[in-house]
Amino acid sequence: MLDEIAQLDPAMIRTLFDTSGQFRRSRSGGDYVENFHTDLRLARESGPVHVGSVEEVLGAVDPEHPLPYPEPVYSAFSFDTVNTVFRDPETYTSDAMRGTFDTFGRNILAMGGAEHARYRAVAQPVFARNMTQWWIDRWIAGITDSLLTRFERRGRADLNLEFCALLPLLTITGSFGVPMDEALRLREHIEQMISAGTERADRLAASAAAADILLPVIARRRGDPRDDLISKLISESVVDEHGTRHALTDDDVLAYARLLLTAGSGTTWRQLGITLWALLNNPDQLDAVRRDRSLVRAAVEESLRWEVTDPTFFRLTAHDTTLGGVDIPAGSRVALCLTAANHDPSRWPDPDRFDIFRRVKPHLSFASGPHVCLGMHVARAEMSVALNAILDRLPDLRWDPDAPRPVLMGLHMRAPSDLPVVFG
Amino acid sequence: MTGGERLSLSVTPETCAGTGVCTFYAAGTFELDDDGRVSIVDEHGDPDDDIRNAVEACPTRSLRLGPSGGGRP
Ligand code: HEM
Ligand code: SF4
Repeated sequence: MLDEIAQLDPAMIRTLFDTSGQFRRSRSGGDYVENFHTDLRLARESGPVHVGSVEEVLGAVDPEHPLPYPEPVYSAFSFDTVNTVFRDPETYTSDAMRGTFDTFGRNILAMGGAEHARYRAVAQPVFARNMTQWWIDRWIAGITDSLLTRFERRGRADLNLEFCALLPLLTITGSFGVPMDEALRLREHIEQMISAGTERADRLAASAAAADILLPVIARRRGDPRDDLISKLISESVVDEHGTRHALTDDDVLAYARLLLTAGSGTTWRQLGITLWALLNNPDQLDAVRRDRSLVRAAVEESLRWEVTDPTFFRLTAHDTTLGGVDIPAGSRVALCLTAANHDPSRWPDPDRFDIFRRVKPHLSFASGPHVCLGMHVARAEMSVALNAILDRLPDLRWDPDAPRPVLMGLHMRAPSDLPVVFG
Repeated sequence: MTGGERLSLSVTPETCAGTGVCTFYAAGTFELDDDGRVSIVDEHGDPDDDIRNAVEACPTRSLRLGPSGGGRP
């Protein structure tokens, strides 16, 4: 595996994953480096639900990219309102993500009701919590080991590009059976496919290019199943609306694959980076985790609560309703600000403080209700295996004193600008 | 909990979606069968706070903590 990783093009890795670089900034609202938590606190203090988008409420609308929504927009900032919306899919539907049907294919993120339940049940078993060890043994542990071996004797590294970016991507492409030399190209197509600033024709072309890489793998696994994700999806069947059971079609598997690549490779990359950033900035807490590995779990949960990488999700209202005292007409877009909900002072004292010793309470970073994150156990496994291995193999890990201190940036996607560290 | 009164835990496997949220928060208390449906292995298998977290976080509201004696018939 080391040889294959060595073949990955460093320039392409930089383009795709350098959070402070041009490509990423254009996609993640990267110029926003303001004090996110203070801005959100001020918003929440003036009411749990506001008229307007999160960007509008924070006064952070990019004049070059005005908001693309034709419908009225409302934003929720408290734990109770965000939690209520996630748990009431009849009032607040996932039709807000219907645009993905065009490019991903018909996928669970934007389905609703019985159809969502039928299709989600197909993939739930392989993402079940008791499959965590399967994911670790087959992909996560080996990839983690290879990535660290490449730089552990060098004494310094950029953990963002050399580690965090690659572990989730190679885990998901590995679980598909996509050869490593195609992993970055696949990621590039997926980026293009979901980019808001890209013409529809180019997004459809990127979706087709992703299919060109994925379809041969699906065909091979139909003939010769292996112990991997695509083989497991193929072997499952779905009950259609008439109650008849049928095997997943290639289009079903493709839609799942495009969704899993989108949902699973960018999020965990950035969340792992946020976890390391927060610990490096709190050396006493980093030290505590290093000495007592039972704290790894608390460190990952606190990172998810304190700064979830994707802070905003959306729903559309199916009928007139009232949320947090605000009347919302049918057909409105409701933006759910997870970070603001996770900093609700009625649940977490001193919420803006990163503190791995606080009492664990469920956060909303993996959402709730029927669309609760399918990959949460894989994401948590990647982050805890990574953190343990980094602490084992990079002794005395600390910021590189010769590099500028990185900042957390991005409004739609949060991540550290980079992670320059020294060790040993 | 007031006055030392014990709360009893109940589950509704019919609405469980097999997400494993409960087994993340309280792995000693809940278990999923081969069909991914929840059951209770040990009503006091974890500290009360962990069990409360699981009950609160269940995305399909398939777990319930209520006064004991009022269990399902
Ligand atoms: C730290 C990392 C991650 C975070 C913070 C995260 C967060 C989320 C959130 C908030 C949702 C709900 C979306 C909505 O309700 O509209 C979601 C859904 C989803 N996530 Fe994750 N996720 C992460 C990692 C992963 C990974 C690693 C995978 C797969 C390998 C994954 C696969 C999915 C899928 C398939 C859905 C759609 C579920 C559905 O609609 O039923 N996620 N995720
Ligand atoms: S958290 Fe709820 S839906 Fe998920 S497995 Fe447990 S009981 Fe089932």
